[in-house]
Amino acid sequence: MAVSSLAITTPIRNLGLYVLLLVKAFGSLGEFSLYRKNLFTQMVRTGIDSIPIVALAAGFSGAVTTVQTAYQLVTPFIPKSIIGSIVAPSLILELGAVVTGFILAGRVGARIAAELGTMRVTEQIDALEAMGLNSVGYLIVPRVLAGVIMFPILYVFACFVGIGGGILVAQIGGYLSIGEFVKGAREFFQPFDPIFGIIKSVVFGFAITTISCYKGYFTGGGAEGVGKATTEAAVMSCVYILLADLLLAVLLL
Amino acid sequence: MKYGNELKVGTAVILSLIILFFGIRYFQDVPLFSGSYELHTAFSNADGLVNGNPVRINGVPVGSVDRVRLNTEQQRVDVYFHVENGLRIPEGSTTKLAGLAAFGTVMLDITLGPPGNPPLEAGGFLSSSSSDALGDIMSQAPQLVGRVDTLLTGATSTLGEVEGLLANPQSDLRQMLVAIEASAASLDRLLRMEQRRIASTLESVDTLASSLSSFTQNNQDSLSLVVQNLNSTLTQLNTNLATLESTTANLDVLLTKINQGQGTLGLLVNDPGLYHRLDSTAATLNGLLLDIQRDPKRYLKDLKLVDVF
Repeated sequence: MAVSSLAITTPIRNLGLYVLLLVKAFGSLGEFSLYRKNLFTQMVRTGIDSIPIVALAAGFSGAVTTVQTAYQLVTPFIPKSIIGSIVAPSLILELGAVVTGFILAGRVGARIAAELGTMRVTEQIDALEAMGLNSVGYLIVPRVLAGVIMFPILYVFACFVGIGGGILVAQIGGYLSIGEFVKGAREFFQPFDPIFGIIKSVVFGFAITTISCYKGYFTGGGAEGVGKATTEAAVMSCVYILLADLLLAVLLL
Repeated sequence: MKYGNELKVGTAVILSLIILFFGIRYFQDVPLFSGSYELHTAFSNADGLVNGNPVRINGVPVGSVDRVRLNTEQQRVDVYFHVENGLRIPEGSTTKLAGLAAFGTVMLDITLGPPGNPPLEAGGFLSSSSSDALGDIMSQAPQLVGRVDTLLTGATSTLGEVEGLLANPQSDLRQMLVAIEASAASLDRLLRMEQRRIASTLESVDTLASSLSSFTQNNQDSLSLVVQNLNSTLTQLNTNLATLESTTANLDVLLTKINQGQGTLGLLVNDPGLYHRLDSTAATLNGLLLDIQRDPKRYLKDLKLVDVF
């Protein structure tokens, strides 16, 4: 198959293929009726169904960050409220988006790549094309849009639960009171921080879904190929999340 | 459920927007439901003030700093901050920076102006009062250290000079010390020589004191009697003095009356009529006596003085 032979050529050709797929997807954005039903299904699968695991991860991240910061701050000259000043911005700037990103790379990226890969190897995509349907518009656009829209929402929940977990552990564990935590968090709070986090989460959502769609859409080689595509989708998503994270921090902070 | 998925997604979107909005407001220290209004102040030095730092009135947090902008034209730092709605900040209030960036937080303290003044409108300007006691101390510390240094240098040189003076056998100080030493030795010798006399003098003083003590003890009764008598005498004197005082007061009243011409005595003293009459009577009597001398028969005729003699 021409497509599968292309998938193992040079990284530059891969990049070109990826960009062309994106162009085609953006070109299909106008055909809303084509993917409207699919979009909401994908939003629920990507976003709503991910809320419990994201909240769990973020809550534990906040709690662990609080405990470890308290453990490291042993100097009596530093007020305890500094723990709040460290934990809240850490979650808002970095952990909220990145932890969510990693979880979604595993949960959503792998699912997308597996779905599309299976559709590719079972020639369902070819069947859609044969029926005259725009397969990119029908399969990829709703998945990418769902990721871009739902990821910031998950990020907000993650920050909420994460800071809540941090405050809860600080209070219950006796590290510092809620008031001290909030005071510290307020002292160094910048309104741009959550905006930056939302920008990050949009970029991460876009990266995860497009990479996974690309990997799945251009799968070849039967069941083994699907497994390979799934693994690559999850790993590449994580790698590009980290790259994008650094790039955004350098560019915007 | 035809719209099941749409409903779930919509709910999640609305919920996250609410969390985002109130979360940002909460961490910005903006009151969640009541609004806030912005005010503006300026400092010559922001001292590490950044947005998000608390704004306080009398130590109570009422808002937070929004923006800190360097104004190079006027060479100052413009600080914009917001405080809770309904908080009345009168005109004439001032701002100052509190806290140290090195120790954690810098805060913007508002010192309220006279309560009678009209409240500031949103966007109003508050002048800043330079405070920063610690900063002043820090800025003055080098001068202080310099002065202490000078002082210590002076003290060291003085001590050195004193040491030199002490070491030099020709110096006044050394000679004075030698003289004092000699005086002390003389005094010591004198004391030793006169030890017996001093002892006897002290003994006599002691005897005198003991005799006085025994005398006082022996004559305790008579002494007490004397004291009692003296006491009663003094009491008597006191009474006499009181009487004298009342007498004087009475006399004073009397004299006042006389002076004012009241009563016989007063009239006598003050009214010159009696004197005039007495004078004219004396003059008339004088005339009469002269007349009698000149021609006694004229008066004595009827009396028949001749018959009498």
